[in-house]
Amino acid sequence: MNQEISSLMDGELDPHASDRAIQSCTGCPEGKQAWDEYHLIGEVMRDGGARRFDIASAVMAKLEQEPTVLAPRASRRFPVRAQAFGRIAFAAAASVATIGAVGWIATQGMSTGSAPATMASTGGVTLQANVPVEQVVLKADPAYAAIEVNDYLAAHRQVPTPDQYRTVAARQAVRTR
Amino acid sequence: MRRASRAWLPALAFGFTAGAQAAPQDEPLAWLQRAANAARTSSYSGTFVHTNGERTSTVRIAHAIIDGVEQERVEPLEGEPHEIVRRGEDMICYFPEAKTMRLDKRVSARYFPSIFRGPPEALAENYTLRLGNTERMLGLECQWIRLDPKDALRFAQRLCAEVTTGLLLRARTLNERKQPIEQWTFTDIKLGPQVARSDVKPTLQSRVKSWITDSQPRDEAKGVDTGWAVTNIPAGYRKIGEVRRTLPGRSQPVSQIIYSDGLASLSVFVELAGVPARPAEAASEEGTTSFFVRPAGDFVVTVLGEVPIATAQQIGRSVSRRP
Repeated sequence: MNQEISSLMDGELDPHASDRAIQSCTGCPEGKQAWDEYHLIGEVMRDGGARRFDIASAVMAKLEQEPTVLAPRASRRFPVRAQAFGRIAFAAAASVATIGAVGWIATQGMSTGSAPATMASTGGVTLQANVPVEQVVLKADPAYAAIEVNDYLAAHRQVPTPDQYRTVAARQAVRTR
Repeated sequence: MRRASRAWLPALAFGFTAGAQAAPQDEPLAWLQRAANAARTSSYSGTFVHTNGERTSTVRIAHAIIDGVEQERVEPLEGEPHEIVRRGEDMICYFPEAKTMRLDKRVSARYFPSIFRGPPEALAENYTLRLGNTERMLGLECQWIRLDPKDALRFAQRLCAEVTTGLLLRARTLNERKQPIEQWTFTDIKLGPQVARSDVKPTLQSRVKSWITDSQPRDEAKGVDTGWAVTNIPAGYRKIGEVRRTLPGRSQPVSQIIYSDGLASLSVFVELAGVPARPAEAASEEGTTSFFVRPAGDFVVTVLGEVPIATAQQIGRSVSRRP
Protein backbone atom coordinates (compact mmCIF):
# COMPACT_ATOMS: atom_id res chain seq x y z
CA MET A 1 0.00 0.00 0.00
CA ASN A 2 2.77 2.46 0.95
CA GLN A 3 4.67 1.70 -2.25
CA GLU A 4 1.49 2.40 -4.19
CA ILE A 5 0.98 5.77 -2.46
CA SER A 6 4.61 6.66 -2.94
CA SER A 7 4.44 5.91 -6.67
CA LEU A 8 1.18 7.81 -6.95
CA MET A 9 2.52 10.92 -5.27
CA ASP A 10 5.69 10.77 -7.36
CA GLY A 11 3.55 10.74 -10.49
CA GLU A 12 4.94 7.38 -11.62
CA LEU A 13 1.60 5.67 -12.28
CA ASP A 14 -0.36 5.71 -15.50
CA PRO A 15 -3.97 7.01 -15.28
CA HIS A 16 -5.45 3.52 -14.83
CA ALA A 17 -3.00 2.53 -12.11
CA SER A 18 -3.33 5.83 -10.28
CA ASP A 19 -7.10 5.46 -10.37
CA ARG A 20 -6.72 2.06 -8.69
CA ALA A 21 -4.23 3.45 -6.17
CA ILE A 22 -6.52 6.33 -5.25
CA GLN A 23 -9.37 3.89 -4.77
CA SER A 24 -7.36 1.66 -2.47
CA CYS A 25 -6.10 4.70 -0.52
CA THR A 26 -9.54 6.07 0.11
CA GLY A 27 -11.77 3.04 -0.05
CA CYS A 28 -11.03 1.59 3.39
CA PRO A 29 -9.82 2.86 6.80
CA GLU A 30 -6.44 1.08 6.42
CA GLY A 31 -5.84 2.77 3.09
CA LYS A 32 -6.83 6.15 4.47
CA GLN A 33 -4.49 5.67 7.43
CA ALA A 34 -1.60 4.67 5.18
CA TRP A 35 -2.31 7.74 3.06
CA ASP A 36 -2.24 10.08 6.08
CA GLU A 37 0.83 8.38 7.55
CA TYR A 38 2.67 8.72 4.27
CA HIS A 39 2.19 12.45 4.30
CA LEU A 40 2.85 12.81 7.99
CA ILE A 41 6.16 10.93 7.66
CA GLY A 42 7.10 13.08 4.69
CA GLU A 43 6.44 16.24 6.64
CA VAL A 44 8.33 15.07 9.70
CA MET A 45 11.32 14.21 7.53
CA ARG A 46 11.26 17.59 5.86
CA ASP A 47 10.49 19.84 8.80
CA GLY A 48 11.25 17.80 11.89
CA GLY A 49 7.70 18.07 13.24
CA ALA A 50 4.05 17.77 12.35
CA ARG A 51 2.14 20.97 11.86
CA ARG A 52 -1.46 21.90 11.31
CA PHE A 53 -1.39 22.04 7.55
CA ASP A 54 0.87 19.05 6.98
CA ILE A 55 -1.42 17.01 4.83
CA ALA A 56 -3.21 19.92 3.26
CA SER A 57 0.02 21.50 2.08
CA ALA A 58 1.35 18.22 0.72
CA VAL A 59 -1.87 17.74 -1.20
CA MET A 60 -1.77 21.34 -2.37
CA ALA A 61 1.75 20.94 -3.66
CA LYS A 62 0.64 17.92 -5.65
CA LEU A 63 -2.51 19.65 -6.76
CA GLU A 64 -0.37 22.28 -8.37
CA GLN A 65 1.34 19.68 -10.53
CA GLU A 66 -1.47 17.24 -11.15
CA PRO A 67 -4.87 18.87 -10.81
CA THR A 68 -6.61 16.29 -12.96
CA VAL A 69 -5.40 13.36 -10.89
CA LEU A 70 -6.61 14.77 -7.61
CA ALA A 71 -10.04 15.87 -8.76
CA PRO A 72 -11.52 12.34 -8.89
CA ARG A 73 -9.96 11.61 -5.53
CA ALA A 74 -11.90 14.47 -3.98
CA SER A 75 -15.18 13.23 -5.39
CA ARG A 76 -14.66 9.71 -4.05
CA ARG A 77 -13.52 10.72 -0.66
CA PHE A 78 -16.02 13.31 0.25
CA PRO A 79 -19.38 11.58 -0.02
CA VAL A 80 -18.46 9.95 3.27
CA ARG A 81 -17.95 13.33 4.90
CA ALA A 82 -21.01 14.73 3.23
CA GLN A 83 -23.12 12.21 5.10
CA ALA A 84 -21.42 12.99 8.36
CA PHE A 85 -21.92 16.72 8.09
CA GLY A 86 -25.14 16.83 6.15
CA ARG A 87 -23.58 18.93 3.44
CA ILE A 88 -19.99 19.27 2.35
CA ALA A 89 -20.16 22.94 1.54
CA PHE A 90 -20.42 23.60 5.23
CA ALA A 91 -17.94 21.05 6.44
CA ALA A 92 -15.39 23.84 6.76
CA ALA A 93 -17.76 25.57 9.11
CA ALA A 94 -18.07 22.53 11.31
CA SER A 95 -14.33 22.39 11.59
CA VAL A 96 -14.14 26.04 12.58
CA ALA A 97 -16.85 25.41 15.12
CA THR A 98 -14.90 22.67 16.83
CA ILE A 99 -11.82 24.80 17.17
CA GLY A 100 -13.98 27.71 18.21
CA ALA A 101 -15.30 25.65 21.07
CA VAL A 102 -11.81 24.70 22.10
CA GLY A 103 -10.58 28.26 22.13
CA TRP A 104 -13.70 29.26 23.98
CA ILE A 105 -13.31 26.78 26.78
CA ALA A 106 -9.61 27.49 27.14
CA THR A 107 -10.29 31.19 27.54
CA GLN A 108 -13.15 30.57 29.91
CA GLY A 109 -10.97 28.34 32.05
CA MET A 110 -8.30 30.98 32.31
CA SER A 111 -10.70 33.73 33.19
CA THR A 112 -12.15 31.85 36.16
CA GLY A 113 -8.69 30.87 37.31
CA SER A 114 -9.78 27.25 37.69
CA ALA A 115 -8.02 25.96 34.61
CA PRO A 116 -5.11 23.58 35.01
CA ALA A 117 -1.79 24.71 33.56
CA THR A 118 -2.11 22.35 30.61
CA MET A 119 -5.33 23.98 29.55
CA ALA A 120 -3.81 27.44 29.59
CA SER A 121 -0.96 26.22 27.46
CA THR A 122 -3.38 24.96 24.83
CA GLY A 123 -5.08 28.33 24.59
CA GLY A 124 -2.98 29.17 21.56
CA VAL A 125 -4.79 26.39 19.70
CA THR A 126 -3.02 23.74 17.75
CA LEU A 127 -5.29 20.91 16.74
CA GLN A 128 -3.31 18.05 18.23
CA ALA A 129 -2.63 19.69 21.57
CA ASN A 130 -6.30 20.40 21.98
CA VAL A 131 -7.80 17.01 21.34
CA PRO A 132 -8.61 16.16 24.99
CA VAL A 133 -10.08 19.59 25.68
CA GLU A 134 -12.16 19.38 22.54
CA GLN A 135 -13.73 16.14 23.68
CA VAL A 136 -14.74 17.65 27.00
CA VAL A 137 -16.38 20.57 25.25
CA LEU A 138 -18.26 18.45 22.77
CA LYS A 139 -19.67 16.26 25.52
CA ALA A 140 -20.84 19.28 27.44
CA ASP A 141 -22.72 20.89 24.56
CA PRO A 142 -22.35 19.18 21.21
CA ALA A 143 -24.71 21.10 18.94
CA TYR A 144 -24.54 24.68 20.17
CA ALA A 145 -21.19 25.89 18.84
CA ALA A 146 -21.44 23.96 15.57
CA ILE A 147 -24.76 25.45 14.55
CA GLU A 148 -23.65 28.88 15.60
CA VAL A 149 -20.51 29.10 13.46
CA ASN A 150 -22.25 27.49 10.48
CA ASP A 151 -24.83 30.24 10.53
CA TYR A 152 -22.28 33.06 10.63
CA LEU A 153 -20.20 31.47 7.90
CA ALA A 154 -23.28 31.01 5.71
CA ALA A 155 -24.34 34.61 6.28
CA HIS A 156 -20.82 35.89 5.55
CA ARG A 157 -20.49 33.93 2.29
CA GLN A 158 -24.18 34.40 1.48
CA VAL A 159 -24.63 30.69 0.86
CA PRO A 160 -27.66 29.47 2.84
CA THR A 161 -27.41 26.38 5.04
CA PRO A 162 -29.88 23.49 4.63
CA ASP A 163 -31.31 24.56 7.99
CA GLN A 164 -32.24 27.94 6.60
CA TYR A 165 -34.19 26.37 3.74
CA ARG A 166 -35.80 23.81 6.03
CA THR A 167 -36.92 26.47 8.51
CA VAL A 168 -38.83 28.20 5.73
CA ALA A 169 -40.29 24.93 4.47
CA ALA A 170 -41.44 24.01 7.99
CA ARG A 171 -43.05 27.41 8.51
CA GLN A 172 -44.89 27.01 5.21
CA ALA A 173 -46.12 23.54 6.17
CA VAL A 174 -47.62 24.89 9.40
CA ARG A 175 -49.34 27.70 7.54
CA THR A 176 -50.99 25.48 4.94
CA ARG A 177 -52.07 22.82 7.41
CA MET B 1 8.89 34.21 -21.13
CA ARG B 2 9.26 33.85 -24.90
CA ARG B 3 6.13 31.75 -24.85
CA ALA B 4 4.25 34.41 -22.95
CA SER B 5 5.11 37.16 -25.40
CA ARG B 6 3.84 35.07 -28.29
CA ALA B 7 0.63 34.44 -26.40
CA TRP B 8 0.35 38.12 -25.80
CA LEU B 9 -0.65 38.97 -29.39
CA PRO B 10 -4.14 37.49 -29.09
CA ALA B 11 -4.37 39.19 -25.70
CA LEU B 12 -3.92 42.58 -27.31
CA ALA B 13 -6.45 41.71 -29.97
CA PHE B 14 -8.91 40.66 -27.27
CA GLY B 15 -8.23 43.86 -25.36
CA PHE B 16 -9.08 46.06 -28.30
CA THR B 17 -12.10 44.16 -29.50
CA ALA B 18 -13.63 43.68 -26.08
CA GLY B 19 -12.80 47.20 -25.03
CA ALA B 20 -10.87 45.76 -22.09
CA GLN B 21 -7.86 47.59 -20.79
CA ALA B 22 -4.77 46.36 -22.64
CA ALA B 23 -2.07 45.77 -20.05
CA PRO B 24 1.64 46.37 -20.40
CA GLN B 25 3.22 43.01 -19.93
CA ASP B 26 5.28 43.98 -16.90
CA GLU B 27 2.70 45.94 -14.90
CA PRO B 28 1.16 43.88 -12.05
CA LEU B 29 -1.68 46.31 -11.38
CA ALA B 30 -2.73 46.12 -15.04
CA TRP B 31 -2.82 42.35 -14.73
CA LEU B 32 -5.08 42.64 -11.68
CA GLN B 33 -7.37 44.97 -13.61
CA ARG B 34 -7.56 42.49 -16.47
CA ALA B 35 -8.30 39.66 -14.02
CA ALA B 36 -11.08 41.65 -12.33
CA ASN B 37 -12.47 42.70 -15.69
CA ALA B 38 -12.39 39.17 -17.12
CA ALA B 39 -14.21 37.76 -14.08
CA ARG B 40 -16.98 40.32 -14.52
CA THR B 41 -17.31 40.62 -18.29
CA SER B 42 -16.12 37.39 -19.93
CA SER B 43 -17.78 34.01 -20.39
CA TYR B 44 -16.33 31.01 -18.61
CA SER B 45 -17.52 27.70 -17.26
CA GLY B 46 -15.68 25.00 -15.40
CA THR B 47 -15.06 23.12 -12.18
CA PHE B 48 -12.79 24.33 -9.41
CA VAL B 49 -11.45 22.71 -6.26
CA HIS B 50 -11.42 24.89 -3.17
CA THR B 51 -9.22 23.97 -0.21
CA ASN B 52 -9.36 25.97 3.00
CA GLY B 53 -7.29 24.64 5.88
CA GLU B 54 -7.92 20.91 5.88
CA ARG B 55 -11.25 20.97 4.04
CA THR B 56 -11.80 20.58 0.33
CA SER B 57 -14.86 21.11 -1.82
CA THR B 58 -15.55 20.99 -5.54
CA VAL B 59 -17.76 23.55 -7.26
CA ARG B 60 -19.09 23.86 -10.80
CA ILE B 61 -19.38 27.44 -12.00
CA ALA B 62 -20.58 29.11 -15.20
CA HIS B 63 -20.58 32.82 -16.01
CA ALA B 64 -21.80 34.70 -19.07
CA ILE B 65 -23.16 38.04 -20.20
CA ILE B 66 -26.60 37.53 -21.71
CA ASP B 67 -28.48 40.50 -23.14
CA GLY B 68 -26.01 42.75 -21.41
CA VAL B 69 -26.67 41.24 -17.97
CA GLU B 70 -24.12 39.30 -15.91
CA GLN B 71 -25.38 35.77 -15.23
CA GLU B 72 -23.80 33.10 -13.08
CA ARG B 73 -24.58 29.58 -11.92
CA VAL B 74 -22.81 28.02 -8.93
CA GLU B 75 -23.27 24.39 -7.97
CA PRO B 76 -21.36 22.74 -5.11
CA LEU B 77 -20.82 19.12 -6.19
CA GLU B 78 -20.83 17.50 -2.76
CA GLY B 79 -23.58 17.00 -0.22
CA GLU B 80 -27.25 17.54 -0.88
CA PRO B 81 -27.92 19.03 -4.34
CA HIS B 82 -28.33 22.80 -4.37
CA GLU B 83 -27.41 25.63 -6.67
CA ILE B 84 -27.25 29.42 -6.78
CA VAL B 85 -28.21 31.28 -9.93
CA ARG B 86 -27.42 34.99 -10.19
CA ARG B 87 -28.74 37.48 -12.72
CA GLY B 88 -27.18 40.91 -12.22
CA GLU B 89 -27.33 41.38 -8.45
CA ASP B 90 -30.38 39.10 -7.97
CA MET B 91 -29.70 35.64 -6.61
CA ILE B 92 -31.98 32.60 -6.47
CA CYS B 93 -30.83 29.72 -4.29
CA TYR B 94 -32.51 26.37 -5.06
CA PHE B 95 -32.66 23.55 -2.53
CA PRO B 96 -34.86 20.74 -3.92
CA GLU B 97 -34.75 18.60 -0.76
CA ALA B 98 -36.84 21.21 1.11
CA LYS B 99 -38.62 22.31 -2.10
CA THR B 100 -37.49 25.79 -1.17
CA MET B 101 -35.95 28.57 -3.20
CA ARG B 102 -34.57 31.68 -1.57
CA LEU B 103 -34.54 35.02 -3.31
CA ASP B 104 -31.61 37.19 -2.29
CA LYS B 105 -29.55 40.12 -3.50
CA ARG B 106 -25.77 39.96 -3.71
CA VAL B 107 -24.12 41.70 -0.77
CA SER B 108 -21.04 39.68 0.22
CA ALA B 109 -21.30 36.65 -2.12
CA ARG B 110 -18.23 36.18 -4.36
CA TYR B 111 -17.19 32.97 -6.07
CA PHE B 112 -13.84 32.18 -7.61
CA PRO B 113 -12.55 33.48 -10.05
CA SER B 114 -14.53 36.63 -9.22
CA ILE B 115 -12.67 37.39 -6.00
CA PHE B 116 -12.27 41.17 -6.25
CA ARG B 117 -14.51 43.59 -4.36
CA GLY B 118 -14.14 46.99 -5.91
CA PRO B 119 -11.47 48.36 -8.24
CA PRO B 120 -8.03 46.67 -7.94
CA GLU B 121 -6.27 50.08 -7.79
CA ALA B 122 -7.03 50.19 -4.05
CA LEU B 123 -5.09 46.94 -3.57
CA ALA B 124 -1.80 48.69 -4.38
CA GLU B 125 -2.19 50.71 -1.17
CA ASN B 126 -2.25 47.62 1.02
CA TYR B 127 -0.25 45.06 -0.95
CA THR B 128 3.11 45.15 -2.69
CA LEU B 129 2.38 43.94 -6.21
CA ARG B 130 4.86 41.95 -8.29
CA LEU B 131 4.72 39.66 -11.28
CA GLY B 132 5.86 36.09 -10.77
CA ASN B 133 6.61 33.33 -13.27
CA THR B 134 4.56 32.24 -16.20
CA GLU B 135 3.26 28.71 -16.03
CA ARG B 136 1.18 26.40 -18.20
CA MET B 137 -1.95 25.00 -16.56
CA LEU B 138 -4.92 23.21 -18.15
CA GLY B 139 -3.07 23.66 -21.44
CA LEU B 140 -3.17 27.46 -21.09
CA GLU B 141 -0.34 29.91 -20.51
CA CYS B 142 -0.75 31.73 -17.18
CA GLN B 143 0.94 34.64 -15.41
CA TRP B 144 1.42 34.61 -11.63
CA ILE B 145 0.71 37.87 -9.80
CA ARG B 146 2.11 38.20 -6.27
CA LEU B 147 0.41 40.33 -3.62
CA ASP B 148 2.37 40.67 -0.38
CA PRO B 149 0.68 42.58 2.44
CA LYS B 150 2.27 45.79 3.71
CA ASP B 151 1.06 45.02 7.26
CA ALA B 152 -0.13 42.07 9.36
CA LEU B 153 -3.82 42.83 8.79
CA ARG B 154 -4.24 40.66 5.68
CA PHE B 155 -2.78 37.55 4.05
CA ALA B 156 -0.44 37.28 1.05
CA GLN B 157 -2.14 36.26 -2.20
CA ARG B 158 -0.82 34.51 -5.31
CA LEU B 159 -3.08 34.81 -8.35
CA CYS B 160 -2.55 33.10 -11.68
CA ALA B 161 -4.15 34.75 -14.73
CA GLU B 162 -4.63 33.15 -18.13
CA VAL B 163 -2.66 35.40 -20.49
CA THR B 164 -5.12 35.89 -23.36
CA THR B 165 -8.22 36.68 -21.28
CA GLY B 166 -6.73 37.66 -17.91
CA LEU B 167 -9.12 35.24 -16.13
CA LEU B 168 -7.76 33.70 -12.92
CA LEU B 169 -7.30 29.94 -13.15
CA ARG B 170 -5.72 29.54 -9.74
CA ALA B 171 -5.47 31.56 -6.53
CA ARG B 172 -3.66 30.84 -3.33
CA THR B 173 -3.63 32.52 0.08
CA LEU B 174 -0.47 32.24 2.21
CA ASN B 175 -0.02 32.68 5.94
CA GLU B 176 2.74 34.81 7.46
CA ARG B 177 5.17 31.89 7.10
CA LYS B 178 4.33 31.76 3.38
CA GLN B 179 2.56 28.42 3.68
CA PRO B 180 -0.58 27.97 1.55
CA ILE B 181 -3.70 27.94 3.74
CA GLU B 182 -6.38 28.39 1.09
CA GLN B 183 -6.44 27.56 -2.61
CA TRP B 184 -8.79 27.64 -5.57
CA THR B 185 -7.85 25.85 -8.75
CA PHE B 186 -9.82 25.09 -11.90
CA THR B 187 -9.65 21.45 -12.93
CA ASP B 188 -11.36 22.14 -16.25
CA ILE B 189 -12.31 25.39 -17.95
CA LYS B 190 -14.13 26.61 -21.04
CA LEU B 191 -13.57 30.19 -22.14
CA GLY B 192 -15.44 32.67 -24.34
CA PRO B 193 -17.58 31.27 -27.14
CA GLN B 194 -17.18 27.70 -25.84
CA VAL B 195 -19.62 28.60 -23.04
CA ALA B 196 -23.27 27.85 -23.86
CA ARG B 197 -26.15 30.03 -22.74
CA SER B 198 -27.67 26.99 -21.08
CA ASP B 199 -24.59 26.69 -18.81
CA VAL B 200 -25.81 29.57 -16.65
CA LYS B 201 -29.46 28.43 -16.44
CA PRO B 202 -30.78 26.68 -13.32
CA THR B 203 -30.71 22.87 -13.56
CA LEU B 204 -32.53 21.86 -10.38
CA GLN B 205 -35.66 23.90 -11.04
CA SER B 206 -37.48 21.08 -12.84
CA ARG B 207 -36.99 18.63 -9.96
CA VAL B 208 -39.74 20.27 -7.91
CA LYS B 209 -43.28 20.95 -9.13
CA SER B 210 -44.19 23.74 -6.77
CA TRP B 211 -41.42 25.58 -5.00
CA ILE B 212 -41.81 27.37 -1.67
CA THR B 213 -40.49 30.86 -2.30
CA ASP B 214 -38.70 32.69 0.47
CA SER B 215 -38.27 36.35 -0.44
CA GLN B 216 -37.31 37.56 3.02
CA PRO B 217 -33.54 37.40 2.33
CA ARG B 218 -34.02 39.76 -0.62
CA ASP B 219 -35.87 42.29 1.56
CA GLU B 220 -33.17 42.04 4.23
CA ALA B 221 -30.40 42.56 1.65
CA LYS B 222 -31.63 46.08 0.89
CA GLY B 223 -29.62 47.24 3.87
CA VAL B 224 -30.37 49.20 7.02
CA ASP B 225 -28.68 51.34 9.62
CA THR B 226 -28.10 48.70 12.30
CA GLY B 227 -27.17 51.30 14.91
CA TRP B 228 -23.75 49.66 15.39
CA ALA B 229 -20.39 51.06 14.34
CA VAL B 230 -16.77 49.92 14.23
CA THR B 231 -14.61 52.72 15.62
CA ASN B 232 -11.16 51.22 14.96
CA ILE B 233 -11.36 49.95 11.38
CA PRO B 234 -8.09 48.27 10.30
CA ALA B 235 -6.15 50.25 7.68
CA GLY B 236 -7.32 49.68 4.11
CA TYR B 237 -10.68 48.10 5.01
CA ARG B 238 -13.94 49.80 4.14
CA LYS B 239 -17.60 49.01 4.71
CA ILE B 240 -19.26 47.25 1.77
CA GLY B 241 -22.62 46.37 3.31
CA GLU B 242 -24.83 46.71 6.38
CA VAL B 243 -27.88 44.48 6.83
CA ARG B 244 -30.07 42.79 9.41
CA ARG B 245 -30.39 39.04 8.78
CA THR B 246 -32.71 36.36 10.08
CA LEU B 247 -30.64 33.38 11.23
CA PRO B 248 -32.03 29.97 12.28
CA GLY B 249 -32.90 29.54 15.96
CA ARG B 250 -32.96 33.25 16.82
CA SER B 251 -36.03 35.26 17.70
CA GLN B 252 -34.40 38.57 16.73
CA PRO B 253 -32.62 39.44 13.45
CA VAL B 254 -28.82 39.66 13.65
CA SER B 255 -27.03 42.86 12.58
CA GLN B 256 -24.28 42.26 10.02
CA ILE B 257 -21.70 44.78 8.78
CA ILE B 258 -19.31 43.64 6.03
CA TYR B 259 -15.83 45.08 5.45
CA SER B 260 -13.30 44.43 2.69
CA ASP B 261 -9.86 45.64 1.59
CA GLY B 262 -10.71 44.82 -2.03
CA LEU B 263 -9.76 41.14 -1.69
CA ALA B 264 -10.07 39.97 1.92
CA SER B 265 -13.45 40.39 3.62
CA LEU B 266 -15.03 39.92 7.03
CA SER B 267 -18.43 40.20 8.65
CA VAL B 268 -19.22 41.70 12.04
CA PHE B 269 -22.36 40.28 13.67
CA VAL B 270 -24.11 41.83 16.66
CA GLU B 271 -27.06 40.17 18.41
CA LEU B 272 -28.69 39.84 21.81
CA ALA B 273 -26.72 37.51 24.07
CA GLY B 274 -28.20 34.05 24.58
CA VAL B 275 -28.73 32.38 27.93
CA PRO B 276 -26.30 31.75 29.49
CA ALA B 277 -24.37 34.78 28.27
CA ARG B 278 -20.72 34.29 27.32
CA PRO B 279 -18.41 35.60 30.00
CA ALA B 280 -15.20 36.12 27.95
CA GLU B 281 -13.63 36.59 24.54
CA ALA B 282 -12.74 33.64 22.34
CA ALA B 283 -10.94 33.28 19.03
CA SER B 284 -9.99 30.57 16.58
CA GLU B 285 -8.75 30.10 13.05
CA GLU B 286 -8.90 27.38 10.41
CA GLY B 287 -7.31 27.92 7.02
CA THR B 288 -7.92 31.58 6.26
CA THR B 289 -11.14 31.73 8.28
CA SER B 290 -10.82 33.61 11.56
CA PHE B 291 -13.55 33.59 14.18
CA PHE B 292 -13.70 35.99 17.12
CA VAL B 293 -16.47 36.40 19.68
CA ARG B 294 -16.81 38.92 22.50
CA PRO B 295 -19.58 39.78 24.98
CA ALA B 296 -20.71 43.43 24.89
CA GLY B 297 -23.21 44.12 27.65
CA ASP B 298 -26.52 42.50 26.70
CA PHE B 299 -25.11 41.75 23.23
CA VAL B 300 -22.60 39.40 21.64
CA VAL B 301 -20.20 40.59 18.93
CA THR B 302 -18.97 37.93 16.48
CA VAL B 303 -16.42 38.53 13.72
CA LEU B 304 -15.83 36.00 10.94
CA GLY B 305 -13.77 36.43 7.81
CA GLU B 306 -10.84 35.44 5.62
CA VAL B 307 -8.42 37.63 7.56
CA PRO B 308 -5.68 37.11 10.17
CA ILE B 309 -7.04 36.73 13.68
CA ALA B 310 -5.52 40.11 14.69
CA THR B 311 -7.74 41.89 12.16
CA ALA B 312 -10.85 40.12 13.44
CA GLN B 313 -9.88 41.01 17.02
CA GLN B 314 -9.21 44.68 16.26
CA ILE B 315 -12.60 45.06 14.61
CA GLY B 316 -14.47 42.97 17.18
CA ARG B 317 -13.08 44.94 20.12
CA SER B 318 -14.07 48.30 18.68
CA VAL B 319 -17.75 47.65 17.96
CA SER B 320 -20.03 50.07 19.77
CA ARG B 321 -23.48 51.64 19.56
CA ARG B 322 -23.56 54.50 17.10
CA PRO B 323 -24.09 57.74 19.06
